[in-house]
Amino acid sequence: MTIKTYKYESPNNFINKTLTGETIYTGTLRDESSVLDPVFEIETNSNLANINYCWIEEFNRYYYITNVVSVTDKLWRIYCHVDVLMTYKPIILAHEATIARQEELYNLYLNDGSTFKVSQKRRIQQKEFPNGFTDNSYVLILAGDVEPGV
Amino acid sequence: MAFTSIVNLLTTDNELFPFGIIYNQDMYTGTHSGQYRITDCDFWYAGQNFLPMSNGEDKRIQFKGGLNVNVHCNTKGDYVISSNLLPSGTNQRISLYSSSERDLLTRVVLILGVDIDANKVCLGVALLRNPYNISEYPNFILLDSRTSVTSQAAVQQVFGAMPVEPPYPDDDYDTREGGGGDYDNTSDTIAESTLPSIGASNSGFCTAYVPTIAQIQDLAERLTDPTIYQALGNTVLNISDVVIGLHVLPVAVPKETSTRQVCINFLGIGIPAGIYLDRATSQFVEVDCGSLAVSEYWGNCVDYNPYTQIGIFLPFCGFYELDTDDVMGKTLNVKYRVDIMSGACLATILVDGSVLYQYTGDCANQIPVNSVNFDNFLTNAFNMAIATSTGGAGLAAAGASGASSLEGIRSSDLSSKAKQLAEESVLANYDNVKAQTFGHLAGATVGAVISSKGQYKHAGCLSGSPGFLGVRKPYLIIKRPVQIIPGNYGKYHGYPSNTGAVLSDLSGYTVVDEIRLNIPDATVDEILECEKLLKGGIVI
Repeated sequence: MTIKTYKYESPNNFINKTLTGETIYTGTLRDESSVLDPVFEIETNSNLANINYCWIEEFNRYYYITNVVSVTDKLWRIYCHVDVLMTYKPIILAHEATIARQEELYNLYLNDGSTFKVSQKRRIQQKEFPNGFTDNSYVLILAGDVEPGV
Repeated sequence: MAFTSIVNLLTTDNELFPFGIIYNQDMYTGTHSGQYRITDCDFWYAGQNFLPMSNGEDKRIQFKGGLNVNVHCNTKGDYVISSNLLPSGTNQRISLYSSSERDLLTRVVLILGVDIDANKVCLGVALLRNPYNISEYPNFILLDSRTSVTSQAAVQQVFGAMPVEPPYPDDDYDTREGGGGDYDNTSDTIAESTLPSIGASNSGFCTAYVPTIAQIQDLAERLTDPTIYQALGNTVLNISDVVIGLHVLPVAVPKETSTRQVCINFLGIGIPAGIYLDRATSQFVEVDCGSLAVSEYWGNCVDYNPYTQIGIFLPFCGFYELDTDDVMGKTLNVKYRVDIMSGACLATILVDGSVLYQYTGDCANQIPVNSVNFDNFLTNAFNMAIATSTGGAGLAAAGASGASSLEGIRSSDLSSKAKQLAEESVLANYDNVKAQTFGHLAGATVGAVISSKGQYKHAGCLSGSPGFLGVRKPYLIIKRPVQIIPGNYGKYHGYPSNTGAVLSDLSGYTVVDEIRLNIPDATVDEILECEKLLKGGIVI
């Protein structure tokens, strides 16, 4: 069995993680092990306290290292959980989906009233129309018509 | 099987459609009796005297469907058919007895039929002539004696599997409905009508003048001159009969210079007043208050209902709420039409050239000419002050929006210690963080803030004289939310999208709404975890 350990510095929800500090370990799987949550022991003089990621070739998966236990000064027990995003990245990215929210592809006219935050103060604007009632006229209404013919 | 199903199969009228069970046993008389068990009788009950016969009689019974049953009545006078009343219940035993001698020529048949008229299922017992050919009785099943059978089994044997009637047999539900709109988004421009060309002045009953104040004073003096009394034949002049109306309007009334004296007309007598007043050339006057563009501030949903509210003040009408969706991003034009005779005015709001709103008001400041006139003037003024005007509206508070929704969280089914650790660390922490994020500042969302605002009036009734004391230009009041959005909002929250896309075509923070994952090499737990992470938000 070949195990490559890494440090990853990307957030968990990054589908493509940046891996550094690769170290390769080989050995034989002695006991039963879950494929999704494997636990294995590594005998090494190196300090494995700071590794947080690994790749297991036989399982063909990437794993978060969820716990590192120092059994002895040279024996380390590593607990892992599969990183499904990194493991299945190509096939996931090939999928079609309906997208609820996106950083670059968006429609701001969709009602997002439940997440946009606003101040309790409102902006009050008054806009005046250009013209109004500026004249004054008397209007007198008399019965009948003007004097005829005069 | 429901009784209804049996009835529905039958088309007989006044006849029994037979189907039943033939028990293949000789009928012994005397001390012997045949016992035939029907294991269920929950819906059988019988009529009587199914088929009476006489001693020695042979009868051929013809049933619907072409079945003929030959029935023999032996010479001993045995009834060859009888029907037993079977109460509904369980496991009723039918015992057949005959007092006659043993007759090897008979077989027993239980005939189950339906009397349509009586709406009953009848059980009849008949003795068949021996030998018989079972193939002649296709609607019957043959059993050995001492055999139990259910009535349902007998019916099913004859009719096979019965179709189950659906509770709602008339399926009028179309498998595909809707989506057949014509997508016609054209809109007509609703233009204003032309001003009327005829009016009260054309009638000859009254004439509208546009006097100066000096001319009004001269007329008032003339009307109260004692010579008028003499000119009218010593009749007291009722000024109200001469002066129909006198008021001030806030508009310039078009007029023409008159070359004829004003005539005081009373009781059929026309008295030249000695005064020349300019006549109004039209009863209706237009005032164009100009245009105003209403533009988006944010360029997003917050610029529209219910978040941004717009009201308009119209002089001599009042304050009115406008539908923000109607006017946002458009140009408003306010025009008034005034009836100079009554002082009534119509304020029209055109949105991008199309009439969308119309409100009425009164722009005349009445001038009383006598005591009766003044009483009416005061009454009208009081009524305006206490009236609940449609113009006295405020900007309504928006309805409350839905609360922030949390993503549905499914927990993985982990069994081993490693799984437990994973649940406590990677996934659970992710879930907890997500839950906390959505719960923050819930009260500051635009929906929550707007729904917390009250409704306030900006004006009461402003018709008539009060209108002269108020603002004389229309204006808008626009109330907009003040968004507070951090610059990295898109990076951590994304913006509303509602699009379909292949994930590889996207970049940045992405929250999937719905996806059907097909990952052949993944376990079901992995697929569920993938889906959860995608719907919680990932960065591509």
